[in-house]
Amino acid sequence: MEPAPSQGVRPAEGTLKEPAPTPSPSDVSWLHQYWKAVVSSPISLVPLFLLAFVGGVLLWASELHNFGTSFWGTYWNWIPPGPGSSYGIGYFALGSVLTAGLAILLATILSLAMAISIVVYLPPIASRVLTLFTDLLAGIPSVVFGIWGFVILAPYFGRTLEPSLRDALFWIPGFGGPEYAIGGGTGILLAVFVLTIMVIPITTAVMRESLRAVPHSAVEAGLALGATRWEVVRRVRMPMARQGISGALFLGFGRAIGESVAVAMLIGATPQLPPSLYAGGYTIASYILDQQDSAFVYPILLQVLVEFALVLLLITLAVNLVGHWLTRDQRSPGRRGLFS
Amino acid sequence: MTAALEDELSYLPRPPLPIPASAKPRDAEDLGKSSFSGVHPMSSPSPPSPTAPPSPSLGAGSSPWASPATRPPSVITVRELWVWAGKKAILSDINLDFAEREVTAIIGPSGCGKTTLIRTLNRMTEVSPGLKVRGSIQYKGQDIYGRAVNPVLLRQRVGMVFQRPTVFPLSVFENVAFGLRLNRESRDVVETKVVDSLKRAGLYEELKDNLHRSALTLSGGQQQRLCIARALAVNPRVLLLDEPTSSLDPSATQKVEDLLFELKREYAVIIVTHNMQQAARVADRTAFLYQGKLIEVDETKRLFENPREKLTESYVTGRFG
Ligand SMILES: Nc1ncnc2c1ncn2[C@@H]1O[C@H](COP(=O)(O)OP(=O)(O)O)[C@@H](O)[C@H]1O
Ligand SMILES: [Mg+2]
Repeated sequence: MEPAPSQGVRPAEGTLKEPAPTPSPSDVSWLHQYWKAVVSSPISLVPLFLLAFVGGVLLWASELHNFGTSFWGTYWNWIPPGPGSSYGIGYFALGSVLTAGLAILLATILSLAMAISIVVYLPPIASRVLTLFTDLLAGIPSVVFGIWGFVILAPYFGRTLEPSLRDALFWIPGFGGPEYAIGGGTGILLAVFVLTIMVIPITTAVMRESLRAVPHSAVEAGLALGATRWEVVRRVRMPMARQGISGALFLGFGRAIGESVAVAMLIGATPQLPPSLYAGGYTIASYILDQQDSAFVYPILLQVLVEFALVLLLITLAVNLVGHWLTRDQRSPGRRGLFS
Repeated sequence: MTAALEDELSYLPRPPLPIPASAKPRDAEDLGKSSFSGVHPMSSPSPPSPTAPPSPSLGAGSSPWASPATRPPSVITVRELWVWAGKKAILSDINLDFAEREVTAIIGPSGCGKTTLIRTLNRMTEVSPGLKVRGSIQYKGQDIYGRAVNPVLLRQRVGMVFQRPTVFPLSVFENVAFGLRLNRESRDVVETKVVDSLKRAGLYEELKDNLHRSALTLSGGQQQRLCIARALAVNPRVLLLDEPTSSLDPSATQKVEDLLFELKREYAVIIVTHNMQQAARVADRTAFLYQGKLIEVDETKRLFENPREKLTESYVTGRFG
């Protein structure tokens, strides 16, 4: 396919029609903008492939019959497979949103503190070390996080941390609940803890870059008006980096909700309405991973898993699109794509 | 309380940064807390507040560089100021008085240290890494580099406007309110002071219909005057302007220059410019800086028409620069 003709380029040989007048900036449609983005960078085609993939899966899934009211409910009983069975995604979706949501809440607080320290407060060497540390964290495979959480954290959570949290914070919803829910330590809280560590690299990196991108002139203007260093952070840097910070939130959420291995190892594999945060749960992603083997025995389960995957795909796609859109200013001109 | 006092003190400073116990009470009294008066808007338990006038110490009268008695009192006194970047002296032995209700221009070729000089006056040099400041700078008799001085309060007393307009991506109103919000002023005070500052900066008539539009939609000249309004809102005594019109067109420049005439009725105005015509138009006194040294400072008319130094003469007649 030929690139769109730009102004001043002669029409191709054999073209009879006059070239269409170049649209003025005001009537350039979004489609045109998009086309320009596609032409300028092949990376922009990735969303198209993704959409095509989603469409394909949707078509295939339309032959399935599980998307009914029961699919969106919570009743889960597929054995024996047949007319009476039910496949509700409810508890899995709840688990996914709950773990990813809590993880991103914790990660936002920690990342914001780290990003502010790196950009504003720490001496250069310390901030380089902290940056390296968080970046290295991003490279640790999730199965390593999983086994670490299972072998080292879970016993500590089950024996020490969760009982004392329950004693101290029982009055906060989610922190009380029955004692048996604590079990061996695996459960929602442990999954949230490890997920938090896993998303911190991405949220910190994005927040760090957006705080750093605030022009020095704005920082100086704040100082010249008598703002302290903290007030400049609070009233100049953070407001000016707001988009990037919320973008980090979405990107981190996308990462957390899609995580399967570590969560499957830590969440306690229980599709239920959890009586507390110490109790077991399940997420869409970890369920797909866990049940992959059974799916070959029960074809209907395979269909259900595909539908689960589809839901997960749509959620992560939407969340990541928003995240990328919010952080579009951060991408350098060299990597210009759809959103920049 | 008299009305005038009320005016000065309606500004309630934020609780100051902790003042070291060793602090000299004089320092603590003014820049460490509130300025201009022995009366404290917020009484602090630690240093007793003497109601006696500030100690004379290095006042203009006692110094060898003193100006004739007819000149207005000096508000900023610079003595033996050196600024180093590593081993390189950016400013060497500067001695200079800035008077109240006057416009002082600082001229000189690019790179001679004009920006650095005015940035020492509100301690903005501390923000640039690697600069070492030696010597004394007094604001109303207090050493601004003294340990008890709170740079935050100093910067509200000695306001600054930069070369390029640096509006925040907020509304017009919020830009002007920025410093007031830092001081946690009440809503009514913020409202009145914002309007008042916009009026002083000659922007109110132009913008009063919509003070909540984004400041980024203003023209460059309006943005620069908004920066002036923003600095005025926190009640400064001195206004530092670093080539404020270098990015403006002639009519916007005209407006800013007109504004300077208004402002000098109440403030000490110090303007850096590489435009000698501008200095000749707006300044009462002009200082010529060359390669980090103060070559000459005099009444503007004299400096341009009858300079004492050869170097000044060749610069103002355009033989270099
Ligand atoms: N933070 C700094 N570190 C090192 N050198 C500096 C710094 N700030 C300014 N300088 C140097 O000091 C000299 C004077 O700069 P400046 O005050 O900006 O001059 P002007 O405003 O008159 O053009 C220049 O040579 C500049 O490179
Ligand atoms: Mg300069």
